[in-house]
Parts: sequence; C-alpha cells; structure tokens
Amino acid sequence: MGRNEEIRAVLEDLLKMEDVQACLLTGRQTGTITPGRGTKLKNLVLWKLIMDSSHKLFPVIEDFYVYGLKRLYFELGDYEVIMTFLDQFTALLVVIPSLVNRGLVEVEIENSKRTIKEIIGRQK
Amino acid sequence: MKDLKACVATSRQWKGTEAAAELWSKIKKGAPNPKFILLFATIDYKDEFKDILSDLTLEFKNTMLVGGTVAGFINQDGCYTRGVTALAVDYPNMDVVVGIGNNTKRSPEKAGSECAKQIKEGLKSSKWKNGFIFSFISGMEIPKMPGMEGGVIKSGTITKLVKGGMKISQFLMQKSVGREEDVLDQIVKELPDFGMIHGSTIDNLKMGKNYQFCGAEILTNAVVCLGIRSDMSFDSDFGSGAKANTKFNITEISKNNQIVSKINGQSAPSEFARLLKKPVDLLFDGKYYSKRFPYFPCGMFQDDRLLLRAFGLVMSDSMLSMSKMHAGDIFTVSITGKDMIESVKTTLSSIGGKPDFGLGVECAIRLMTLGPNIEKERDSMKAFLKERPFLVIYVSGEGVKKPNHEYFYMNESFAMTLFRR
Repeated sequence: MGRNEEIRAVLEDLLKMEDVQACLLTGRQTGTITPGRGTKLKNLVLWKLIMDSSHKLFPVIEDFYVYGLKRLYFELGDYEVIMTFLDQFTALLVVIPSLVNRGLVEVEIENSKRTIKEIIGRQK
Repeated sequence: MKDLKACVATSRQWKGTEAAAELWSKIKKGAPNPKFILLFATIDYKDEFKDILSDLTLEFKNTMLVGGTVAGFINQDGCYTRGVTALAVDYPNMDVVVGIGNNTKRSPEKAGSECAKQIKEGLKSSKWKNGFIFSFISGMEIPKMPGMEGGVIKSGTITKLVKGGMKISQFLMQKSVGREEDVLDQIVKELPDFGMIHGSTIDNLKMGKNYQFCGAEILTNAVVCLGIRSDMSFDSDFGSGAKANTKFNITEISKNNQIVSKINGQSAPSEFARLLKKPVDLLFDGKYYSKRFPYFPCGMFQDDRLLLRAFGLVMSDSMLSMSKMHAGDIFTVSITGKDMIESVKTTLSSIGGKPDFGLGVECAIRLMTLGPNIEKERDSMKAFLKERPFLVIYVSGEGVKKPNHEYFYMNESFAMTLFRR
C-alpha cells in the first residue's frame, strides 16, 4: 500500500468515530489527504473552505512551532476544529461538534497522529 | 511459587470476529488456559459484541468471562477511546465463579443480593483463603428529555418535569442514576471478608446506554461479578488529587441522597456558586458546563479519606450528584489536571510492592478532562509495573474495598488493585 493510501486508511478509521465529522492531513510534503468517503459534514461549502484554506495557517504555525506549539483549537459555529501538528509543516485537522467530549476524541487524534508520523517516517 | 500467567490484550479491529481473533491469539500467547477473562469494549463495538463474546467463549470454553462497556482504557499497548481489551489470568491456586443480578436500577437490592449469593454458593467449597470480587454494574443512563443539553436546565418547568420524569423512567425504562451503591451494599453484606474493585459501565460519556458482559451474554441494567478465592494477595488504594476547601451543609436533599436542593438553607446552585466564589452564570452556562464541572466537584470524608462527588446535572433549583451524598460535613473541592495525573503515581506508591498484575478503574470524567494527557498516567503505570501486565478502564463510578472493611465509592477518582503471589 502506498503512503497516501496508508494515511487515508488511518483517516478513515478516525472518521468512523461517532463524534468526528471530518478530518484531513495537510502539509507541504504530503499535500492535502482526506478519507476516501469524504466528510460527514452536511455543509459541504464549509468543508471545502476548510480543505482549501487550512494550509494558509502554516506561516503562522511555523513561527510558533519553535516555541512548542502542539495544537490549535478554534470554534466555528456549531463545530470545533482541532489542528494537531506532526511537525511544523504537517498538521492533522479534525472537525467535531462543539458540545461533544473533546477529551475522548483527542486520545484517538493522538493515536492517529502517531501512526501517520510512523507512516511518513517509513517512507522517507 | 506456583506459575501465574497474566496478560492484557488489545484489538482495534472494527469487525467483531476479527477483534475476537486478535484477542484470542494474543491471550493464547500470554495465558493459554485462562481461568478468567475481564473483557471491556468501547461503545463503538455495540453491533459487534455478539460476535466478540461468542467467538471468545467458544475458544475459551472453560474460562469465566465478565466485563462491559467503558469510555476508554490504558494498558501496556497504549491509551485508547476506541477498541476492545481483555485481562486474562491463569493461576492454579484459584477458584473462580461469576454472579449476575438483573434490573439494578429498578431493584438494586435484589440484584446485588442475587449476584452475591451466586458467588457465595459457587466458592463455598474453595480451600483458598483470600476472596476478591471484580464488580461491574450498569452506570447512569440519562433519558433524553428536551432542555437537558449540556448538563444544564434553566427552566423551572423543565426541572420539575425532569425530576418527576426521572422517577418514572427509572421504573419503566431503567433510565436513571445507576444506584450502584444500593447494589454494592448487598454484595458486601453477603461477602464481608472479600476485597473488591468496582467500575460502573458507561458508553462514550453520552450517558445513553451501557452494557455488561457475562460469558456470551450481553446484558443491560445488570451487575456482573467475578469472584475468586485464591492464595494470591491483593492490595488496593485510590486517590483523586483533590483538596478539600470550604465546608458547607446540605440542608435539603432527595430521598435517594443524590438531588441536592438546598445548601446552607439557600437554593443549591446559587449557594454552590457563591461558595466557589464564581458567578452563578458559570454554573448555568449550558455550552461550557460539561467541560467545567469536573473542576468543581464536592467531597466528603469517610475514614479520613476524601471521596468526591461530581454534579453531573445542574437544574434551576437543584443539582444532581452522580453518587450518594453521605451525612456529615461536605466540602467544596479544588482539583487540577496536574493533580489528577499526580494522584496515579501517589496511589501506586501507597500500594507498593512487586505485583504480578494490576487492574485499575478510573473515572471517565478524568479522561474527558485530561484527554491525551492520560499518556502521562500510562507513563506512571509503566514506570511502576515495568513489564508486568496492567489494565485501567474508564468508568462512571469507582469503588474499592479491603476485606472486612467498608467499601469506598467515588467519582472523579483513580483506584487500583495489585495482585501478587
């Protein structure tokens, strides 16, 4: 299985969790990778905006990364967006509804991040 | 010293048959003929329980199996909020039996008594001295009612509806507080010389539906216990990292000692906010209450030990505690994430010794609060237990008991039992 396919499989697993509405991996070397079945978000315009603009945050992220930036959270209407960084150039982005138990989802986000890091590391 | 084999296995396979096969093959390597298996799964697997249990019980025909749904777990493999895990133990100097009681929310005393009698009967001819119970009881299930989102009900009308409705739903649908202590009271009455570790089963903290397992059976609103008599010794302790602050009096409380209406003669929510020196809007913020309430439980002392009670629901004129409030002094309590993590280390150190394996129960509220920082708890477990197998499950109510002592029942806590030959 190629790198992107392996990463896609990890994102698919994450998307299977009840509270995960959408997820993607974005980075300079990886580009944007999304799960095969897309998103559970009903607002596809919002999802397209997130997909198209997440990389625009990287110039800011790169500045803060050296100071130990681990995660970014932002509230977006009824959703919360969590960005966690594999390195200063690669981020895993997950969208959840704003009232869910974020702690539980974050445990699996960390597991997914760890697995994706291993995949990328193997392919170098 | 007799050979003890214990192992903890994890599967992250989505399909039940594949998860069972993975667990089976790992258990066969670590404890090929286990006397008992404790099996836990997150609610993601609710459509797979049947396959998992039937395949495992087919493979391990002579093995007693109990367990249930949990919000997550930690073991040597990692930290997970999605997966299936099993602790399997094989030891020749041990007799094992299971007990079941049904309708725990409607008739908790009867359920506890039935379960305990099965264990007592099953172990009456055992020659081994030390008795221990692994107890798993169906935890709180909240009926879906309008206006209950976020754990806050501002409307007085809906509050009345909810309070009245919960009594009906408890009887008819068994959707209510878990009544675990009413069950445990009967178990310890029948088996006073047993030690115990208890966890209340839970889903993914939505408090919708949770399940208990016994053999190939999938149960709801039940108590499932695995009782052992052995020459193994065990020791338990618990902690939360919380500190007691301001003393207060509960001046009006429901018959079941869980809905607090008046504190210091005043309406409970506003007086509690005043004692916390916080604006009352902090409590009545439906959006953030579920994220904030773990940081302000209350506490009471039993034998100089601080037991926490979390207010899972705040209503217009009262607050619902997730477990019973005891008579006596009650305190506001402060707790930080750092203290929660440190309490695991402190608890393990207080038990001490060189265990063969360990089982822990931890409140799912702490999982919700700490999120991926539970990895730091796992580091403490690994540092203490080294290569020896351990499993910590995230539940909705924790209990421990030493033989011939009263049991402690807590929320927002970590409890551990370590076993050694």
